[in-house]
Amino acid sequence: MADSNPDAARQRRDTAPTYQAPGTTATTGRYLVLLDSTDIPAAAGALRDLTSDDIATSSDFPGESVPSDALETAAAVVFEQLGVAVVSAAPELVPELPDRARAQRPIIAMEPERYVYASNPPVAADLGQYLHGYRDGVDNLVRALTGAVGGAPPATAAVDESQLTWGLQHTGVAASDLTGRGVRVAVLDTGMDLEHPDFTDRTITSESFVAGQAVQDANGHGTHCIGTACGPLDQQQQPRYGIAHGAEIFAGKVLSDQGSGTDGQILAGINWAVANGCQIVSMSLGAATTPGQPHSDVYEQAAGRAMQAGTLIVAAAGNDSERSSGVIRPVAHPANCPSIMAVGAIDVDRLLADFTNSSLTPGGGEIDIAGPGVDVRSSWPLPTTYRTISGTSMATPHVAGIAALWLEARPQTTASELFGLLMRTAQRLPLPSTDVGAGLVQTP
Amino acid sequence: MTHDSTPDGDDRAAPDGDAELMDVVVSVDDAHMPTMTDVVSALESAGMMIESTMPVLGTVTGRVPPARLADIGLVEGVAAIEQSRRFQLPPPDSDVQ
Repeated sequence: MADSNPDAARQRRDTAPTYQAPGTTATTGRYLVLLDSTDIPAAAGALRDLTSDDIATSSDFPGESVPSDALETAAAVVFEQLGVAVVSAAPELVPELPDRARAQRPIIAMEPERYVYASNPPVAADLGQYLHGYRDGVDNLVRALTGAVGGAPPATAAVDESQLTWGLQHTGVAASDLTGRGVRVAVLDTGMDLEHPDFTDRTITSESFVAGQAVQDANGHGTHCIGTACGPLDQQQQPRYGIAHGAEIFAGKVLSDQGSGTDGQILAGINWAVANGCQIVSMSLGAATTPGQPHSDVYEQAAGRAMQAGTLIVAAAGNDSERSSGVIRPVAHPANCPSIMAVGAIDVDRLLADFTNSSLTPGGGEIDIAGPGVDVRSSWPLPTTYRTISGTSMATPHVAGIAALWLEARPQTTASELFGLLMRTAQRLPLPSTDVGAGLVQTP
Repeated sequence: MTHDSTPDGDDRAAPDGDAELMDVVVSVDDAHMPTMTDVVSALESAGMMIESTMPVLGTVTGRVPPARLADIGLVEGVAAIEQSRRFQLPPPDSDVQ
């Protein structure tokens, strides 16, 4: 029943009513159809049944380059590489098409084709209307695919921390079933309280790189960071504060009980972690830098090799700033290395922590991502057991723990890809990217 | 490059008369990663007191008399040499760490 008359197709389109719901942007009368791209021929066949017309596919044309007149004359054009078709429908079929589309298996979803405009200096009202229309179109597609509609992040109400720390809530950890199972997370710090009751059933591989000191954490910082990154699902006392409760913990003591360390100790710890197959290394440590100070070539080369070997290094951006006094300092070493993920800190209201450093030095000294870093509760050596403190040191293990969840969800992700993935999926914040990078880290 | 052959010190004294040894970190270039042990030996011969080697990362840490720094930097296979940095956390009872 093919109607292969291109003039008829064009005539249909010229007379088709322009569908325009209130507050939306003008549509062309054509539809964009999302095909099941695993079987393009079947999808094309379903389209043919739907439109009763000839269709063209991009592979008909040299270099898969579909000329504009084909879009005008064909009843449908299938872009094979994208799994999308542009379909002209007779006006009388318009109300039926989305339902008929869903009944055909190889067709996944359908939406009106919009007019798209080059960006001109916006006349505010038109631009707002265009954006609202675009958003409505996306919402419609999401609704059609999932039955749910996305929305803006919820306004910050008072946060209830009786069950979960605010950091676990704002990063989506609470809503996830992922555990970090199969992932080795190394935390290079002041060690770990190996007697802590919340970790008695966890296997902890540990090593001290501090001469004359055992891994046992007499400082607290390391225990707190390990707690955030890998703390348990069922801790002795509410709230839950730990993220990757199924990950393997590697506790490397690179800072003494007095909180001090050297490049040599840190590099030794990184080497140990990489050699032991740790996909993630969390380093809540830094040495202050001056604006314009170049990053360490030695660390950058080391971090690049670690990444090649399958290890992503995440480090604290540093707490040298005092924004309330107008003091803003650059990202600390070694977070200022391009191949190391630099983590800034935000608070429960998703505002900048007073102390969090900024991307003042280009070429590596950029904040990549932000994590919860103000009033963060986590484990602490006995007898204190739990403590609430602040710092980019606390934001960093949030990113490390969540990175482990991502790796469990997508085991084939390389370290380099993981860096980008965490940034792509971060929750955008209405704050400068110089201060929060891509935004607040999010769980899959 | 020729230099005086001096025995490796078995203490912290700097043979060239400088008061203090400098803590350094060295990275080996990609081409010499497979022969890193040779580079480490060469560093020792050039006057570096080796503290630790990290074969996976291609880094070496140790101490160098400041006057020998140039010699160390010229060792074949050295990509970079930097003074080692120190890290210090705030006291454990601090609110911000």
